[in-house]
Amino acid sequence: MAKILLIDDSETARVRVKIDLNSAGHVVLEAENGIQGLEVLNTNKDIQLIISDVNMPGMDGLTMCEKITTDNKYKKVPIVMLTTQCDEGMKIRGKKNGVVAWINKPHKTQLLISGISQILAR
Amino acid sequence: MEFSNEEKLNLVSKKMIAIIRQSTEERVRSHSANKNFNLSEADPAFNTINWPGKRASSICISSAALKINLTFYFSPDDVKKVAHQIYGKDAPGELSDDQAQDFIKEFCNLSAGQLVNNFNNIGFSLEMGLPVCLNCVDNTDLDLTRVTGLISKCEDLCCFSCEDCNMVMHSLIEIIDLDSLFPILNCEVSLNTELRSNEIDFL
Repeated sequence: MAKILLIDDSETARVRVKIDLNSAGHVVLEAENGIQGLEVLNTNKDIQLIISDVNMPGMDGLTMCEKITTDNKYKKVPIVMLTTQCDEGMKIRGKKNGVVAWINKPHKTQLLISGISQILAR
Repeated sequence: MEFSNEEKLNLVSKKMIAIIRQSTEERVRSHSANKNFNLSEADPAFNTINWPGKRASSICISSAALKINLTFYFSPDDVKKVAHQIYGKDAPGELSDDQAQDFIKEFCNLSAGQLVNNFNNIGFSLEMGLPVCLNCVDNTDLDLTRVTGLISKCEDLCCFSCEDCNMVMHSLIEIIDLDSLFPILNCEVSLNTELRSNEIDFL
């Protein structure tokens, strides 16, 4: 069981992922964009993994990743991008900033759960 | 074989509409977890302005050569019949109108992402914006008929429906650089989304 921060501006997307993560025993904290995500991260030092969308208002997911990696406290928290976009340039930018895996929306439940387990086991 | 500009525009428009329809039809099925959704021609009398009591969600996809506005017109009560299961609810009435709207807004996002990915696969780069929600009474504020002397415009109207739910998709395509789009006629867009959804890319 892990404490996971889930960031997506769509409630529908968050609910879909949260149901799956809860069923696997994970605790899920939610945020609607990168700015809220950073706030939740700052007030919950025990977050073990971040799942984020890319395309969000306010602050997008990749910009948030850049902010996270500049903070020594959080730069070891693995980040998974869950997004409609699979542009190689975005993946390269993400990899430089703590993104360890990229999953395309809409996700498959088993794929998400097994992927998260693999990352947490590292 | 040489084509006139008018012929080129006609061919490119048809191809664009085919790609948009193909992409969104797959997405509505996967997003709703309902394989019974089908695409059909919309009633030509459908009026995107006078759509009382109903809502819409819209998203823009663009490049220097092209701009696409996708707008989905829907009734919250219809959408709740499909979306309540995704929300883990027992009955449609347990969802609010705003949650139904969010469901379609996310569908906009998924459809636009699929289009961007499909165009990327044939070597054509597009950027997508953020989906927006609107009440159709506000629709007069949306400049859907904007056109300049340099832009060619085409549009498409179609309907997605399953047992309980209908929605209308309006695609407005503004072609800014016809010549740069012409090569897409030779490309086959394969919608291998099922395969992509089964993959996790460890970086």
